[in-house]
Amino acid sequence: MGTKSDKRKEYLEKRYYREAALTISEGQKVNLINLLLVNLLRYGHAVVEDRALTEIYDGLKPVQRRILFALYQLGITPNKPEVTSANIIGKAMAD
Amino acid sequence: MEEKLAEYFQLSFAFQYNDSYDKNNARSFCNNIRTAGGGSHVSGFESGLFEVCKELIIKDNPNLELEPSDVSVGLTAIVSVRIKDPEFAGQTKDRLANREVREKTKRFTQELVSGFFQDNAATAKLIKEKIIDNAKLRLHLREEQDIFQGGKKSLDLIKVLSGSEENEEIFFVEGKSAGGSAEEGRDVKTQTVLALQGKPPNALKLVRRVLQNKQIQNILLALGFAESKGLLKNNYVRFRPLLEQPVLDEELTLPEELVYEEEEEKKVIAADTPLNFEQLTIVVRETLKNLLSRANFKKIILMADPDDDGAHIVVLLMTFIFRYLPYLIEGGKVFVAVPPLYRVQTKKQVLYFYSDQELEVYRQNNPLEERKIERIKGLGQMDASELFESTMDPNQRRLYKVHITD
Repeated sequence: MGTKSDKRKEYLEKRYYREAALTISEGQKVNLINLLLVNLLRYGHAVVEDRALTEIYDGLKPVQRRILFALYQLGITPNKPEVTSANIIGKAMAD
Repeated sequence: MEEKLAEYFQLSFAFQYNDSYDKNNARSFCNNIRTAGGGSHVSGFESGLFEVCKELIIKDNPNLELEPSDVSVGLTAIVSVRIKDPEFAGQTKDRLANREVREKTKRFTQELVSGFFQDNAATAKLIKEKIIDNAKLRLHLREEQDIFQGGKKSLDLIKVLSGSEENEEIFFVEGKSAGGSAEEGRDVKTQTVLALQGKPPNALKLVRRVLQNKQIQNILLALGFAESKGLLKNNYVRFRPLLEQPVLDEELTLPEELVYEEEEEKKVIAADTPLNFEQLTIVVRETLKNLLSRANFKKIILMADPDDDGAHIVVLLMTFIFRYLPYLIEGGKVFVAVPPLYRVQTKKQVLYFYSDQELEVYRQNNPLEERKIERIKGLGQMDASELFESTMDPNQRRLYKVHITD
């Protein structure tokens, strides 16, 4: 499919990225391509692993789970009276 | 006073022009209730009036560029509508929100006002003169602003750059809080700080919108490439890729002659004559030199948090620079700062460590020392002096120079 994705596929199949590490040559120089690869991998990995995708166990993203945990810590359950959202935000962000 | 009745819709308005330069002298009502915040009926009235006046004026002055604000200067008006089911918006509910009212008001205003102008030619002429006067004044003021302040654009620059005289280094810092402490802690004589907010756009994806992005504009302004003319279309961008090719398959010419100095002699490559390979090399080299001398800074340093998002920001910025300012990379002007990961406080001193391995080595070498190890999660966590010490101080910091190889 398409010229662009072919290249990408080929690249992924070579598995260069597995050994990617920031290599610093003499005079504190980094190669642009190396820098981009390492940084983008790091970011991509982080997003996929703990930001954007839901967990199979509970169907929640990490942020959502964080909020529920804050609610649990504050003891807010459906049978309790209402609480202002500011409280919850504070708790969720604080620790 | 003019009125128009339609199905559940009544519009009444009155307006008058005077010599003053006041703006926003319009009162508006909906079902006899004052709508201090304006709303759809006011904007409909204004745009209707603007359309009519534009039509009136453009006939005689085709070159004048009118703006809606020209029509509202010196205008005093009352607009009142009666509608079924009005909806009000805004915190104090003083703005009419019904959308359909805008179109209706605009249409009727156009109809009525153009009819009025036809019947009262003398009044129409006076109003016309007033609006032309407004437009000219506006243009004049803008010109003055351009002269005195170097245009609207540099206003932004003053805000983001805290001026230093010898601009040797510029830091692009992630986030406002880190930008603030970097600004406070920097070496005032040689370092400039530009705080970036949020993530810059991906320069390879949204090609058209990138240059309109506020952050990107600020970056370009700060670097001294404010006129995007010459940014993309120059001999470097045009000819650099050709140097890699073994054979030139088409005839290349220069649009303008190029004057350069070599061994203190002036040499000229004439325009519109085919170039050979050597000349091409010279052209690229000279253009590169030229472009680099235009940049305001010797070092451009990207400083982002040592976390995942920081890594992403570095990627995005590098992509932008690679796409639009590749000569900066080839000229060796772009650097990446390395913020510390750990701070170790011993009895004698404070140490910074830039990677896990370094810390581990230190731990094994000094196993029994009394110390406090702290993980630094972001630039904003450090205060100004710490930030300077660990990442910005030319004598102690770590800096990676970015270069391109294949």
